[in-house]
Amino acid sequence: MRVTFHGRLADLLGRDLEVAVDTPCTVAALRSRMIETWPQMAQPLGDRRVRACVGNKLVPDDHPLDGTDDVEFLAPVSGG
Amino acid sequence: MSVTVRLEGDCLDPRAELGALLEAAAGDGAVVSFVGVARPKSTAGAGVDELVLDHHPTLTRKSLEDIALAAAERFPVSQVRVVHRCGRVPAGAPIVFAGASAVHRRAAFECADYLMDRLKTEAVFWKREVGEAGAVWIEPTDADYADNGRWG
Repeated sequence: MRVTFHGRLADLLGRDLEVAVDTPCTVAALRSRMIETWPQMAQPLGDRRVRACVGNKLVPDDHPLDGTDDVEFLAPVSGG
Repeated sequence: MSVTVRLEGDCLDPRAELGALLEAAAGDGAVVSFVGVARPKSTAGAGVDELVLDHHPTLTRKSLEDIALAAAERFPVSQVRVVHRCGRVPAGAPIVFAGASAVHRRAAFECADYLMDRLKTEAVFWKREVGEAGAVWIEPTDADYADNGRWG
């Protein structure tokens, strides 16, 4: 599944990456899978302020994902 | 009532924006504008060469529009104008223009104040200062959140 990071999250693993995860799953399962693979993501991805976005809409952690979804994770915004 | 929102990648000319606002405000008695400029020093006092504003391909513009439309609904104004930079902004260059016009001054002042308080905390940007201290991510300050809280 293709994952894109915005803001300071992109400092850790780069802006885009491909995550091997069994689908269908949820945003929460994707977070857990990434933390298993990259333990350094535990703190940033565990931050409740880090929101997921699918199809240009913010989605909750129980949002269902299939293999074709692109998922974005947004660091807390800086404002203008 | 007219609401103008733009996200600019290269250049923001506050004089041109104020000129356009004045022209559109014909018949109004008050025009208020605010220009935010990239500071050459961080809050810790380190020299800053540029501010880099990362943005989201759709959510950033939508956040600017939502804030501008809310301001237009909340105050008796006839023009709302928000123009925001993204990308690399050198110290000393304008980052944001927020302006409003109204029949009377109070609504125009309050509208510009409201626009900036919301933009400073809610606009979808990820900012970093680049300079003496390297690249430092910036988040809204407690004062920014308190300012935004004034509007309920």
